[in-house]
Amino acid sequence: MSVRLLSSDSEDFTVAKEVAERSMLIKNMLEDVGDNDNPIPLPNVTAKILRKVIEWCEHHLGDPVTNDENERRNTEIDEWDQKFMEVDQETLFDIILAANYLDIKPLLDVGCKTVANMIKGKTAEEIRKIFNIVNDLTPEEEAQIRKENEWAEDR
Amino acid sequence: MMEVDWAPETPNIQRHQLYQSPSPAQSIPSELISYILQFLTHPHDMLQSALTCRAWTFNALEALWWKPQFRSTAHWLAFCQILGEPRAWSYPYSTFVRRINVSSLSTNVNDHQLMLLNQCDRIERITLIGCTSLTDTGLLGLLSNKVGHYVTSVDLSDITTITNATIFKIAATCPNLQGLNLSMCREDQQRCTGVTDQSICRLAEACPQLRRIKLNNCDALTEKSALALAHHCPRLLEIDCPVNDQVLAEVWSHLRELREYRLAQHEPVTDAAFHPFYVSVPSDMDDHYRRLVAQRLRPPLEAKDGYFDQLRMLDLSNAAFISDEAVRVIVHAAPKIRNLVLNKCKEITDEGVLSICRLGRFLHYLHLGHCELLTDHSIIKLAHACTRIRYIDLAQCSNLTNDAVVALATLPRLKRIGLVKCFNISDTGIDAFSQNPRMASSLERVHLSYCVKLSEASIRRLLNFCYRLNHLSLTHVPAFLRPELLDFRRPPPKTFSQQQRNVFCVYSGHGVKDLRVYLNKTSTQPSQPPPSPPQRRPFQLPANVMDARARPPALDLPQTADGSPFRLPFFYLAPANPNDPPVQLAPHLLDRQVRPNVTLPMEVDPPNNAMAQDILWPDVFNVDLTPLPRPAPVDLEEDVLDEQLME
Repeated sequence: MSVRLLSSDSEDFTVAKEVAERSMLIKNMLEDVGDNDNPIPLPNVTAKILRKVIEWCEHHLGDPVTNDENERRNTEIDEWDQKFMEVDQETLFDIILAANYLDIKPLLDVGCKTVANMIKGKTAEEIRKIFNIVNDLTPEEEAQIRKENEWAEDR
Repeated sequence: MMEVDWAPETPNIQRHQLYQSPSPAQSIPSELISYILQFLTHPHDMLQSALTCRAWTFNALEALWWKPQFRSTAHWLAFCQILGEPRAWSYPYSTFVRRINVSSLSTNVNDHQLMLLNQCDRIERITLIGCTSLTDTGLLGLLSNKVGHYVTSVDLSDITTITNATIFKIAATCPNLQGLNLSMCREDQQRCTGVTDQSICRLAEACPQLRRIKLNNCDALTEKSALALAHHCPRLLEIDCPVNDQVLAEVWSHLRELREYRLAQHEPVTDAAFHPFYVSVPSDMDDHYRRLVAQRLRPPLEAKDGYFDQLRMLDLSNAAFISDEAVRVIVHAAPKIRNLVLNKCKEITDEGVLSICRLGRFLHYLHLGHCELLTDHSIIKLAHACTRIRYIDLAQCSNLTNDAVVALATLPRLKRIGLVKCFNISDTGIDAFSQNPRMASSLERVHLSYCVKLSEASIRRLLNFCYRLNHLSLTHVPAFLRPELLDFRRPPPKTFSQQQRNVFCVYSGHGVKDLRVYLNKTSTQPSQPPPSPPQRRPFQLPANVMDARARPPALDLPQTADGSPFRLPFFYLAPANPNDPPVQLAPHLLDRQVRPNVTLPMEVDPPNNAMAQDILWPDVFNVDLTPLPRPAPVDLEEDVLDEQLME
C-alpha cells in the first residue's frame, strides 16, 4: 500500500503507507478520506524538506513508541540521527517546522534536541552568534532580567 | 498578605515594532521555542537563552521558573528576595512556577520563606522532604492565598512537627490532590503524633482523586483512616495505614486498582482479610471451614480470577496467621504480583509455594524468610516455574538442602539470594552457582551466614566465577572465622556485643575483591585461573528462529540488478510459535545498506544489552536478556520520586 504526497512546490512523492503514517497529520487524513489515489497536498513543506522527512521516517519505521516522558526527554540522539541532523541551520529549523506541522513527534524531538544541544553551556552572546540572532533587548532590560534571575546563575 | 497586582499577561517590556529577523531561531513560533527549551535541564542554559533576544525571553524564563532549582542556600535566599518584590517584576514570575522542591536545602528553609510562594497560584507539586525547620505555620501560609487548586502532590516526609492543622488546610484547598507523603522514617526526629484519624478522614472526603498516600510512622493513626480512604478514594494505588481483618477486607472491596500493599508491622491479620478475593464466601466460613478446605475435605472456593490484576507488590510480613489457602486465593485473584513478601508468615507450607508458582514469569522478588515448614519439593518447583526471579530470600528455611539450591542456581536473572541459617547447605549447593554461566554476570549479593558446613573452597570458586558479586555474608561460618580474614570484612556494627563481633563476617565492595585475591593466593588446591574476562554463554536463539547475527548472515536478501546495496525497511524474525506475531528487529541496529554476504553489524552480548532488548521480544521467545541497569538520568532523581508518587 502506498500513498502519494504533494510538496508545496508540487513535487509528487510516493511512499509506503506505514512510512507516511509516521505523520499523525497524514495518518488522520488517510483515516478520513479512506483509500484514494489522489495525492495529499502538504502546502507547508517543500520537496527538499519532505525528502528529508521521508528519509527519516523510513529509517525509523518500527521504532518502539515511548510514552515515558523522562525517557523521551533524556534519550540521547543516536548516531544516525546526529548525522541526519548535520545540515545547515535553515534546513534544521525547516525540519523542525515540518515535523511540527506533520505531527511527527519523535522527529520534532530529535530536531529540538539538536538545537538544545547547541545551546548547552553557552553564554547568551555565543548563542546569538551560533543562531545569527539579533539582540533586540535594551541593556536596561538585559540588566533587569539578570537581576531578577541572579538565583539561577552559576556562582 | 502580599497582593500581586501586575496587570499585563504579556511582558511589560514594550514590544519593538515587528522586526523581520534573518535568523530562523528568532522567527519560529513561540511554542516551538518552548519545546526546544524543555530539553534544557540546567538553569544556566535557560537564563542565557532568555538573554539572547526578546523572542526567547518569555519562554526561557517560563522554563526557568517552571521548576526553580537551587544549588545553595544563597541561591534560595536570592530567589526569596525576588519573590518578595512582585511589583518590580518585569515578567509574571509567580504564574510560571509549577513545581517547588527545596528538599536539598533541608533545614535551611523556614516558614517565612515558604509563605512567599503563596503567590504562585499554578503550583502543582510541593516537595519538602526533610525540611524539618518547617511547621504548620509555613504550610498554612503557603496554602492561605491562591495556592491549592492545581496542587496534585505534596511531600512532607520527615517533617514530624506537622499536625492536623496542615492536613485540614490541604483538604480545604487542594481538591485535586493525587499524592500525599507523610512517611516519617528518620530516626533522629521526634515521633509524629500530631496527625490523627480526624484530619486523614477529612482529607479522604475532600480529595477523591488521591492515588498514593504514605503515612507510615504517623503514630496516632488507627484503622479508621484506612477505612475512610477505602471508602472515599477509589483510585488509590497504595495505602499504608494500620488495618485489621475487617478494615483490610474493606480496602480490598473498594480499591480494585491497588498497585502496592504493605502490611504494617505486626498487625493481627488473618485469612479473613482476603474474603473479597473469593467470588462468594459461605456464611459459615471460619477457621474450621478453611481448615477443611485446606485438607481437601471441602471443595476449594472459587477465587475472583484476575480481579486484582493491577496488584504488583504485596508485603504481608509478620502475618503469622496467613495460611496456604490465603496464598492460593491471592495468587488467583492477583496473578501479576511482581514482589511478594511473606517473611515470617510461619504457617506457609509447600502447598502455599506451589500456589505461588502460578505467578510464573511475573514474579521477580520473593521473600519467604522464616517460613520454616518449606522443603526442597516446592522450592525446586518454584525455580522451574518462576524463571524471572531476581531476588529470593529463604532465610531460616532450615529444611532446605542442596537440592533446592541447585534448582535456584538455574534462575537466569538471579541477582540476590538469601540463605541465612539454611544449615544443611554445603559446598555442593554453592558450587551449583559456579556451574551456571548465567550466574557469572547476574549474581551480586549472596547471604550465607550460619551455613556452617561451607568450606573455603566452594566460596573461592563462587568468588572467582561470579565477578559481579559485591556482597557476601558468612557470619558464623567456622571456615571463615580466621583472624587473617578479618581485614577484609566490614567493620561490625557498634551496637554488637564482643561475642557478636567475633563471628561477624560480611564482605562488601572492595572487601569481596580483596577476599578473592587472598583466597586465591593462599589456596593449596590447584588454583583455577579466574575467568577473565568472564565467560559468557554465547547468545542463543531458539533453533527455529533465523539468527540475524550469523556470519555470513543466513538472510535471504533479494539481489538488486546492478549489485547496488539493498535497502531493507526492516527485518522480521520468525516467531518461535507460529501463532505469535513475527518479531521485528529494531532497524536502527542494522546497517540498512546490507549486501548479501556482508556481516551485519549487530552485537548482542556485550555491554549494550539494551540493544538486545530491542532486537528480540523476550516475551515471545522467552529468551533471557537480562538488561544492564540503565545509567541514572542526570538531575532527575527528584522527578523520578515525584513520578513514583504520582503514578
